[in-house]
Formats: sequence, C-alpha cells, structure tokens
Amino acid sequence: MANKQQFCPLLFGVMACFLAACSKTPEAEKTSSNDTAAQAPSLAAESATPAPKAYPERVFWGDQHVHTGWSVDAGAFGATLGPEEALRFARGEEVQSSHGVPAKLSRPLDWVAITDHSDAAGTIFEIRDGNPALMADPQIKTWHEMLVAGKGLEVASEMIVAQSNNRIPAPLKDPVLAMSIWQKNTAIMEKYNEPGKFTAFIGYEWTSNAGGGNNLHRNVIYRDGKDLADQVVPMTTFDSENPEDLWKWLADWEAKTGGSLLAIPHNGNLSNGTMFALQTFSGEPLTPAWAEARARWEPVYEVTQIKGDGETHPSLSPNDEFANFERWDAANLAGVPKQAGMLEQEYARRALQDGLKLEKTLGVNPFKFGMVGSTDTHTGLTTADEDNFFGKHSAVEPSAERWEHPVIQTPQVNVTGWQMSASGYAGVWAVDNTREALWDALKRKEVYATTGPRMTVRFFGGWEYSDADAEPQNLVAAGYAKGVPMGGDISAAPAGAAPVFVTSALKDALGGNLDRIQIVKGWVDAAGNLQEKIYDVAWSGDRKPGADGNLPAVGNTVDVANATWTNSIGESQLAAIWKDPDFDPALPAFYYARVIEIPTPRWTAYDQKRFGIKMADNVPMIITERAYTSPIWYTPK
Amino acid sequence: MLRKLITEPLVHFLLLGLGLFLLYQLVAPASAVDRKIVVSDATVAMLAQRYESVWMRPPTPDELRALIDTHIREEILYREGVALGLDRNDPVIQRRVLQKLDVLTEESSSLSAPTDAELDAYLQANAERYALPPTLSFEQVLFDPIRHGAKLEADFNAALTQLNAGTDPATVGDSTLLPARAVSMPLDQVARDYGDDFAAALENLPVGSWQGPVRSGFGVHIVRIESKSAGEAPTLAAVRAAVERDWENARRIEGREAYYQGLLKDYEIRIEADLSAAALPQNSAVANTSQVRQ
Repeated sequence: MANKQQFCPLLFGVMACFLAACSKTPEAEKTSSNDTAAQAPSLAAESATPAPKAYPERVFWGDQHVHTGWSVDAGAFGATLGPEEALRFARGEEVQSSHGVPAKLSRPLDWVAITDHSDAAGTIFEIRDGNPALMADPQIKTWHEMLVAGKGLEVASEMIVAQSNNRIPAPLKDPVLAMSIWQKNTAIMEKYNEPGKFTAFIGYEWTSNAGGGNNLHRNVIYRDGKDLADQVVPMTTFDSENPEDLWKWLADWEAKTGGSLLAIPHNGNLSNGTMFALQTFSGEPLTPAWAEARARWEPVYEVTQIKGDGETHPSLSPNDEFANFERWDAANLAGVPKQAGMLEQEYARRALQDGLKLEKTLGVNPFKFGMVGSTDTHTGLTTADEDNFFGKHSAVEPSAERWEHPVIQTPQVNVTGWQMSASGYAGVWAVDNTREALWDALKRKEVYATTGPRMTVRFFGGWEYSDADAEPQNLVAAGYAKGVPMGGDISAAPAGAAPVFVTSALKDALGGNLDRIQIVKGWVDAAGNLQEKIYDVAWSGDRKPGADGNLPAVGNTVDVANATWTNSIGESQLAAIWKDPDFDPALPAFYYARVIEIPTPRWTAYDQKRFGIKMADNVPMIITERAYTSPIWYTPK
Repeated sequence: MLRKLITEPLVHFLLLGLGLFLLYQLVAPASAVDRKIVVSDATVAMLAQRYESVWMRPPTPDELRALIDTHIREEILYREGVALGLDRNDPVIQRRVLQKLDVLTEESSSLSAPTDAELDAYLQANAERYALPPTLSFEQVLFDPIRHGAKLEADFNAALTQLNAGTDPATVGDSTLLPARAVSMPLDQVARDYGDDFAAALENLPVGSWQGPVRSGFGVHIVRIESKSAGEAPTLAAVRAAVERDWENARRIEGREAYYQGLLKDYEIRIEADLSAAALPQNSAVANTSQVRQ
C-alpha cells in the first residue's frame, strides 16, 4: 500500500486534491480482485458471458464523414476508391490509395459513416426489380428481362442509343442512365455492417452552399438499415438549400418509415456567419418551433476536421491561450472573404452561449449540441494521424509538393495545402458496437471530439460527488450513479450547492502524453452578456499557476528535423474532481472538458522529413492535439 | 481549387453554361439546336414522381407548375450548353459517367450467387484473414517511468518479487485508469488498446506467474496471464457472411478489370509524349505506364 504511486490531479479553486495513490480503498481492492466486466473502467475486456451493461464501458472510435470517389467532386480530384475500399480501410485493412500507394490505419476504427454527397435517384434498379408501373412499357419490360439475365451493359448501350435518338420510353425520361446509386450504396453498407464488431452507418451529406459558398453542410445519419433507407430518395440541394427544409424532410421520413435520423452540421468556420445565425435562412426572427426543430434534428456538431477547427476563435475567446488552433478563418468555401460580425456566428463555444441566451426568449435552446470530430476526407481514406495523413482530397495525397498546393484560391483569399488539419475522430460512449447503440449515444450526446489521438475521456456532472468518486477505480461507476455523463443535463441545485464535475483522461497508447484537463464554462450573466471562463483542473508534474492564474506551459520535446518527440513530459493519465467556484444558481450555464496533449510533430513536419524538403518558415511544424467533450448543461428550475 | 469541391457542380456547370451561352449569342450565329420542347403527360408524371420520391407527397398544382417551368428552363439551357460542347472534357461529368458504367458493370457481374465450394475455396486461400484471434485473460500492474525516474528498475523489480510471493496486485504499482484485469480479450483488441508491441509480448508470456517488464505506450507493466485460448481457423458456417462479402468484392474488382481489358483490346493507344522530359509529380501512376499498347 505504501509504495502505491499517486498521480496527483492538481485542482483549481475550492477543490481538495484527491489522490488515487495512497487511497486504494478496500472497495477498490475488492473491485479489482473480484472483477466483473461491468465494473471495469474504460478499457474493460469482453466477458465470455456478458451481462447487460449498466453503462458504456468502452469508447468506440469512428468517423461520421467520409467521401469516396462516388462523391462527384472527390472523383473529379482523382479519387478512385469507392465505398467498399473506404469501408475496408476503416476496418483496418490495407488498400491502395488513389495514387497507388498502400494505405493502412495504425489501428482499425470501430465504426464509420460513408457520407457521399446526396445524389439524384433514378430507375434502373426499379427496372431490374420489375417495378410494375414501369413494366407496362414493352421496351422497359425487355430491358428488365435483359437485366435479370445479366446483360446490364447491353441495356446501358441500348438506353444510350435510345436517348440520343429521343426514343427513351416516357417513364424513363429521367437522365441519361437513370440508376439508383443510393440503393447500391445502402447495399454495400449492409454488407459491411457487422453488429458487435464493426458498424457501417447508412448516411449521406446534404451539401448546401447557399449564397455562393456559405457552408451549411449536414451529414444525415441513419439509425436503421437498407429496408427503411431505400424507401425515400435522399434530399439534395437541388431540392432545397434551406436547412429548415432538410429538417422537414427528416420529419417526413421518420413519419413515413418509422425509423430514426439525425443530422450533423460542420464547418461553421466556412459559413460566413450563417451556421449559427440568429435568424432563419430567409432572414426572419427565430421562433420556438425553429429552435425545437434545430435542437431535435441536430444534437451533435462536427467541431474539428481537415478544413479547420471550430471550437472557438482567438477574437471570440481572447483569454483562451489554446484558442489559436488550426484556423481556417479567411473566407467561406468559395473564397468569399469574411467580414466583420461573421465570426460570431461560426464557432461552437459562442453558439453554445447564444443557445443559452435564446432559450430565455424562445423557451428552447436551439444550439444544444454535443461535439464530435471527423475527417471530411474526399480520398476514401479516413486518416487523422499526423504521421499517416492522406489529405483532404486526392490532389493533396502525400507528395513533396502538397503543402504548397492551393486549396482555396480566389483574388482575395489563398488557403494553402499546409493549412489542412490532420483531424479528427469521434469517440462514442455506447453499450455496444451496433448502429442502434452508437446512434443512440450520438442522439443523447454522450460523445466527444478529438483532433486525431484516441484519448479515453470521461466527464460527469452532478451535485453529490465526493473525492473518493474521482479515484480511477470508482470514477465511472460513481460518475453514472451520482450524476450525468457528457451530453447530459443537471438542474434543481440543492440550496447552497454548486455543481461538481469528475473527469479523467487516458492518453492514446500510441500518442503523446497529456498536458492538462480544462473545464470550459460558458454562461449568460444577469445583464444578458455572454461569459466564458476556462479552469485548469488537472495537469502533469508539479507546476504551479502564476500570479495571473495561468499554468506554466508543459514544455516541448519535439525534434522538428526528425519529426519525433518523447513522452518525457506530461502524464499518461489525469483525473480530477472540480466544483464550480463561481456558481450562481440563477444563471444557466454549460460546462465541457478540454484535454490538451503535450506538443507533438504536425503532419507538415512528417512530410518535411519524409520528402527531404524545407517548407516556408510560416508553416507550423508542431501541434497540441486535444479532445473536446460534449457539454453538460445546468438549467435553473 | 476548392471551389470545385463545392458540390452540386452541375449548378456551377449550368451557370457557366449560361455565361458562355450569352457570350456565344453575341459572337456566333444560331446553332442547330433542337428548339422544340414538348411537355407531355409523361414528362409531367415524371416530374411529379421525382418530387414525390424526395418529399413523400405529390406536388401541389403550384409546385407542379414551378417544376415544369424549371424543367423547361433547364432543358433549354442544357441543350444550348451541350450544343456548345460544354459537356466535353469536363472531369466532373466524366466521373459521373464512369461511375454509372462502374455500377452497371458490377451489377451485371454479381447476379449469380457463389456456391459453397467456391466460398470454401476462397476461405482456404485467405485463411489468415478469417482466423479467430487468440484470446487472453490477464492481470496487469503499471509503472509510469516519469513518476519513478531513476528508481524505476528497483521499484519494478521489488514489485515483481512481491507479486510472485503472493502480494495483492491492487496494492502494487501505480494507480491507473487502465483496467486491472481483462477477461477473454481478443488479441487484436489488446493491440488496439495497448499497442502492437504489448500484444505481441503478451502472446508469448507463460501462463500463471507475474512477468515483466512489458512495455506499452502507458509505461512498463507487470503482467500475469491467467489463461489463453489459441486462435483457430473458422468453419465456413462461422464466417460465411464475411467470406461471401469478400468473395463478391474480389469478383467485382475482377469483373471491372476484365471489362476494361476487353475494351482496351479494341483501342489503339499511342503515347507520343516525351515522358522523360515531362514534369511528373511523385507517386504518379503515369510514370508506370510509359508503354504503347495495341
């Protein structure tokens, strides 16, 4: 007992330091000697006869935003990988990249959603399947018989000839070769979805670039399988560029099929002030119904990805020393420069604050979202590791030149290859690796974002946690028993009480050590002003905050020339219990945890080393990877 | 560049087409575009059906009228654009056509289901892909090198001796968020959580006694393997879905390649460019195909 080493989460504010070390209690010993899978913490093993799980024991890693060559834009950039290759890659198999380079993840992912851009549907599969409405036409009936006999190509060429001679049967006047890419897509997802082992979500991206490149994109994620997904054609932006129409489509779909959908927006940083605008798409004031719909359909926001990080911006969070991170803040997706006032409606933290404020007037918080990371890769290769980064699209797959290739180029704005961010992944706390369990976790926001590393992060909030609850052996069981996990709500503050949070972070087995865990609090003060404050709650080593309250930097071991670092600074794990020292029970607030890694080489450093090149001096070579949990909201009764 | 990434590129295409069309009107005589557009019952039915397929209800009369107006507008612009040749040499349109052809080729070649014998042969030929991994039950105690510094080896060895003398492992080593015990964990999962080196080391440890050091990204471990089960080759019945999927995938790729090779035979390919003088990007596939095909 005496030589049990402690890791000391140093606490800010009112907290007593809890020490895991000397305090392995009898209960804890009992837990570890009479192990049951249900009591083990985050990396619990699978039991031979699993009992129903009381709460999520394992975090499932995935990417809900992958494009393949089937997205026409990706194909135009030379991506040759289709959905099957993308799924195989996500499952950990080696595939050939579009440039013929072997590509493989360091570790498999647990789940993925292939979200090619939604696509106009067609009818060739209906011909094949003998849709009775079409069979009345003798020509179509002949083609049906040929298709069933395996003569698809002959049918195709006959259709092309008929088209060019204007002899296409009227029911097929749909474009050249009508076919349902969608049904093909869902069939592939069905084949690769293996409940308990690997989840392949059915999904698509609805890609609204309203107003000339204002990114209002949403990924639509299906909880259900092909039988329901095939009943309705995905919505495209030919149908509407208005997100409110997407929500309507989602509602209609659920009513028709009885299934469940959600939508995940991304890249508010490229929306020129429209992602979290305080008015409707057509410029009308927000209404309770609007807020209800947004909160219902968009429970999660993709906060970090290749096209930049979206947590916050230095001009919005001037006191946040980690805010200046992987910024894409010059323009929208079409290179239209940003103007004053736009940044305020583009970033997650500010939107979470605005949500609290809107709830006061609308009765509903429209921006009550959890956070995930994903890649938005257009290569079919979901890579978020700095040392294994295949880029945004196939024109910027690894090469000696990609760092200086333009990504957005207009007379006013240049975004260059080196600005791509090798980010991110989504960690999902679910009881099982199935579509249903993972989707439900997204819906209840028990998810978090990382910029690539697979850190295991826990975050709970409640009123009754004690120091012992924050010990590693107890943290998870106590976290669920006495409070709510990330994404949850607390209310009804006991008289004189302040909310207490327990949080832990375990490094990625292959990644950098951890610098610190912070809790980010946002609220609206009594005068209606938006407020935020960042608390360091656990950190490595014996650093002491300075007179200004700031913790000294953790240091830096990165050898840029060799693209290496050492884990001689930081800690492999951190944990803390923290009570809000500035709590006012009358004011609604949100809290989320941010985990910061020690500095490690950025992908640009690996490229520079790998290709023996020297990039320009302004290209960053070092990155501080991080994780953002979904918030926990406090709402006064 | 990323402007092209904005999807629904046909929108841009149409806008571009409109611009060029207007320009063309200024500088060229009228072309031989078919200038008759007939909106038949079938056309209207098709528009209505397409609307309903997305919106899950038929269009209202006003909506239908708007659909028809849009159809006419797009048909005119499309015809004029095609007459200008704007559909040619466009990588987006080219990709779309290729994609359709790919899907058709695959659909044509995947209609017959594999026999058990075919699947079994495929399973045997790719046995390692389907092998069930060994599973391990183990206890572990962690030492963080940063916390122990120069004393790491001494602390570690003392703990190893204690453990093998029967000391409760819960009282030894550093407090950790890692589970103290894992039950029947597949080896590939061990590798995912702790790294490949750790998993490989565990596979070779003897059962029963505390062993170490075993290194992982978290630090230095002392490990006791409680039990292990060997991996095994599965029967077709156990992995049929995966084998069928992979067999179909292999056939899909073969079919696509065979179709291409069949077409290629009828083409004369002549690469006249001086490839040695061309500035080719690294990893370019072009660099590997500098031959004349007949």
